[in-house]
Formats: sequence, structure tokens, C-alpha cells
Amino acid sequence: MPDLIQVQNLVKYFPVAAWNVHAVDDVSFSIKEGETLGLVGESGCGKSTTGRLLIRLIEVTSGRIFYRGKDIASIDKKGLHGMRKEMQIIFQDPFSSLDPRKSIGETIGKPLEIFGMGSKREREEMVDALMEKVGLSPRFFYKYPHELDGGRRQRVGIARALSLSPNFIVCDEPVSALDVSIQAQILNLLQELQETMKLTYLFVSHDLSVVKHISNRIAVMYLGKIVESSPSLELFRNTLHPYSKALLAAVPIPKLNRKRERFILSGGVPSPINPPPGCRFHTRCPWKMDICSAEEPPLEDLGGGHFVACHKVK
Amino acid sequence: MKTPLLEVSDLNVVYKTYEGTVAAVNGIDFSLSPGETLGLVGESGAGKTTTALSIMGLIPSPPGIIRSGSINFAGSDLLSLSEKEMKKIRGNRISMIFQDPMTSLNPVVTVGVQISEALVAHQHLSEAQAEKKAMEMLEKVQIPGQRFKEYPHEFSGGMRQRVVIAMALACNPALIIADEPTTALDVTIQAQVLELMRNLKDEFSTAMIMITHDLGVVGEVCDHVAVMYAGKIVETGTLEEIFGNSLHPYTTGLFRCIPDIEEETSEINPIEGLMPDPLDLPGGCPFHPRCPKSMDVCRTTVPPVLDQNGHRVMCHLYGTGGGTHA
Repeated sequence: MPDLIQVQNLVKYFPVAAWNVHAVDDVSFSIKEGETLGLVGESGCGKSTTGRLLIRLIEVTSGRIFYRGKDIASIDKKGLHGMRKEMQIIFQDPFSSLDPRKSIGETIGKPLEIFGMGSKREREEMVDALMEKVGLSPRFFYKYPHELDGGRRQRVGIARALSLSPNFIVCDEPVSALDVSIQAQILNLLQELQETMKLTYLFVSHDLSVVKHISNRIAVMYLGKIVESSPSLELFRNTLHPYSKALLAAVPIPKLNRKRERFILSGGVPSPINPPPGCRFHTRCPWKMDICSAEEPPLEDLGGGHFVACHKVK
Repeated sequence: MKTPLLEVSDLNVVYKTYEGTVAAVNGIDFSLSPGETLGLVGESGAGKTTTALSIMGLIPSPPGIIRSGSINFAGSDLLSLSEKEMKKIRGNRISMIFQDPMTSLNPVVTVGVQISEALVAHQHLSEAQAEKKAMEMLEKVQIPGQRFKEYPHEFSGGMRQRVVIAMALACNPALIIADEPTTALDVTIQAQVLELMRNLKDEFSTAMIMITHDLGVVGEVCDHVAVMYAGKIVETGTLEEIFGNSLHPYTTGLFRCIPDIEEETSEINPIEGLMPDPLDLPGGCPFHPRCPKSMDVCRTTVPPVLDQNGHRVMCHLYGTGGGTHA
């Protein structure tokens, strides 16, 4: 499969007073058509910002984003409008991402209206079909978001994202706000839709077990950088970067008598306003060497699509 | 058998709202021995937090009403105590850790003073003594003692939660109720806080009720588990019984919802349907509309509790109320 998305040297700084928050700092990756790339990391690592940059909800500081070979990082407003049909987003919080004053039918039909698809009557039929696709009963058409529970609201968000038949969807923590029994329903729905509609996902999440379940490839981010990326299974069979190892070891697993490697990091994530020199993880790294605070390790290809940025692993 | 430290029986709590009566906790029974850690697991609206607030005597009233039941703690029924008597227990013999360390600390008071407060009130220490003890407590949760003069905003989320833990432990309580203490934290920070809680619990031999929606967290720190659904405890037992041999279809369903991070390919099987409306709970077993093994009797009769040496399950599949075994 060809690459649908290619990202080269993506940078996003947010100015704060006299400083910059280095939210995303020189990140490159690609996503193949029909594939799911999982972007995993802790709060403040830049994973959501990356997702938003990809569909130009915010402007890049520098770097290039190619969609089917076309650079969309510098595309003008009119061109961007056209791109919206191709790329959509599902947000984390199904409460704040829906307009409380619009009925479910209006919300799902809004993108169709903006793009002038069909007559009002035809659009209503399209909305009915979308609601069926995401498992919402037609009786919700005239309901308002506050009348729905979290799981159903997230289905509305998914239907809205699907309304223009996009190719690429950024799923920004789509199940984090949901209870586990509902979370499983939504994950299965997203996978079904990917198969039937040939969708490509960027799946942003802090939950490694969810990311592993849904992704073909995974990229681990730390303080605005990708520290390791690899095919999903390979990352778990052969975890190389010490941060990835710590992240994996920190996931509490609901099983008895597991013998797991203890790998608890000390301290917290440093400020992204003034990130540490050299390797950004060196302040917490149990394997730290002299070179780590002096020189930034490049993201190196170890073969088989496994990339790692670590002096020790190299 | 040790004498239980805490014994909750037939607790019923409702909230009166304009839309009707919300049945939040519907006749739960459980007990906790000294030094034991009980995981209270369930999804939102299951009644976990209401249970905790009932024990603390913090149910907001109105709209909350404790309809019936008793909460026996170290020989006295907490529900019959006056507010004055309750104040002597709260923060002293029983203390609570809340979910969100950003909102559970006072932003305009230094952390040192916030930790000392309970010590001055309950243990009648002088301010200087309390300050010294507060510094010790900070060191216990791995925060340098000299930071006791700093304000909550000067600490990271994980450190703030450790300050809250230091506050909870300051008077060396017999029982700590931790309500989703790590839910707001990142996973590597959660691992630090859980490890700390495990160590301190052993050091202080405090009993703990750990309220969480995360079965993984339960597996890390608890030795007993109670699974709540729609205001009832549907299954309770030791960690080994619940994780190794769960009986209730809801408990089993919860485990099958979670992607298995240790398997190469994982399948997840959602529990169909939604949490029931607490304003209008289904008759019979509250889980029957979502249960894959539902029978006729489940719709009409509340299942009896089957007790097998402490592993208790509330389900017609196992009870004497009829029906066939699965």
C-alpha cells in the first residue's frame, strides 16, 4: 500500500510570554493507506498537537505534511476547505465536542450542508444512513446531546466525522472518556468502519493496551519527539527505548501472578518550555551515559521498520 | 477470622431530585479487616463514590438520604453518630484521598499547613510540633521536607497527589478511602503513586478501600475485590477468586472488554447495551437487560446471594432461586 500521509520535520511551537512551548519538535513519519498508526505518550508529549497539525486545525511552525503526495501544510484556505472532505477528526470529549443547541440530526448533517450535498430531504436520508452505520437508533435524530450518554455521544462524533466519506480520520483519545464496557463497543465500531469504508486512522491515545489493540504501527512520543516507532507487535516483542519500556511496565494488568520487569521511572516530565539538551529523556533515564546530555540521538532505522532514538540502543 | 474493622450492612442511599428518586446504593453488605485492601470496582454510576461518602458521613443532604443500613467502624455505628462525634473520626481514624489532586488541595494555603491542620485538630500538637510532623510526612511520600512552605501550584500532578496521601496518613488512620486516586495521573506517574501507596499501607498497616474503574489498578494493590453494578455488589471475594474464577456475568464481561496487552492478538467483547438509568432501575437483577445469560427469573426476582466461603455472588445462575447452571 502507498503512503497516504507523509510528515517531514514537523515542528510546532506555541509562544508563551517570551518563551516557546516546544510541543512538537522535528517529527517525521508516514501512514500507509488503510493502516492505523497509534501515537502514544503521556500528557504534554505533543501527540494531540500532532494530530491537529495533520488536519490543519492549527498551523505548523515549520515542516511539511503530504497527503497523497500533495503538500497540505502550506495549502491556502480554499484548498484547505476541499481537504476537509478527505480528513476528519473524532475528539476525546463527547461532551464538549458537540454543539449543545443542535439536535443530533443537525450535527451529523452539518458537514453535508456546508458542502452542499443533496437536497435537505436527501441529506436527512444520508444522516439516517450514517446513524444506522454507527449504531444509533433513528429515534435520536431530534434529540439533543444532553439527552444522550457518553457512548452514544461518541457515536454522534463518529457519524459526523464519517459524513463526508473521508479517507483519513484523526482519532484523538476517542475512548478515554468512556467506561470500559462502552469503550470496547466504540473500539469495535471503529475497526468495523475502517474495514468497510477503507479508512486510514491516526489513533492518539495514552492507553498502551488500546493502542496495541487497534494499531498496525505505533509511534511513542516523549516531550515533542518520537523516541521509538515500529510495527505494533514488534514494539511489544522487542521494546528497545527505555521510555517505551517504562511506559509498558507501568501499565497495570488485570491478571494474577504476573512476573514483570519492575521499571518505575523517577521524577516527572520536564517542562516543554525549556526541554533538556541532548536526549530529552536523559533526566529520567536509568541508562543515562555522558553523551546523552550532550548530543541528541537521531531516530535510527534498525531494519524491519523499527526506529529508535537512543544512544545506548545504537 | 479477625474481627472486622469496618462492617457495612444493608446500606441504602438515595438522592431526591426534581426528576425523581435516584437509587444510588441499594442494599450493600461488605466488611473489611484491619490492614486489608478492598478494591471497589465498577463503572460510572455504580454507586462506588456514594458508598465512600456514606462511610465518611459526607453524603450531601439534601439531596442525599441514607434510607437504611448500618456502618460499623471499630465498634460504633457511624450512621448514629452526631456530626461532632463524626468530626473526631473523619481525617483522624478514617481519611480520604480524592481523585483530582488539582481540586482537593486549597490553592492559597501552603502544603505544610494543610498537612498540619489535621494534626493540630486531632492530635492536639502545637503548631511547631505539627510542622515537624508535616515535614516528616512529606519525606515519607518522597517529597523533600523543606518544600512544606510551597503552595499546591508549585508541585506537579503526581506530587500533589502525594501531598494528599501525606495528609491522609498524617494521623495514622485505621482506614483510608481512596477514590480513584490515580485516575487523573499519567501512567508512569500512576506506577510511582501505586508503588508508594503499597509501601505506605504496609508500613502503617492501614486498611484501605480503593475505589476504581480500572481492574489493572485493583490487581496491583488490592487483596479483596467487590464489584458494583447499579448500586449493588454483584460479586465479592479475594483477588484470586475474582481474577481467577469470576462467577458473575458482569465481572466476566468486564474482563473481556479490556484489550490484553500481553497477547499477540487480542479480541475484545463488549458488554452490549448501556448502564441502566438510576431513576428507573430494571426489576429483578439489575444486570439482566445486558446479560448474555439472562433467564426468565432474572427479570422478575432479585437474585439471592450465594456465599462460598466468602466468595459471594448475586446471580440466579448460582443461587437457589431456580434456573440451570451455566
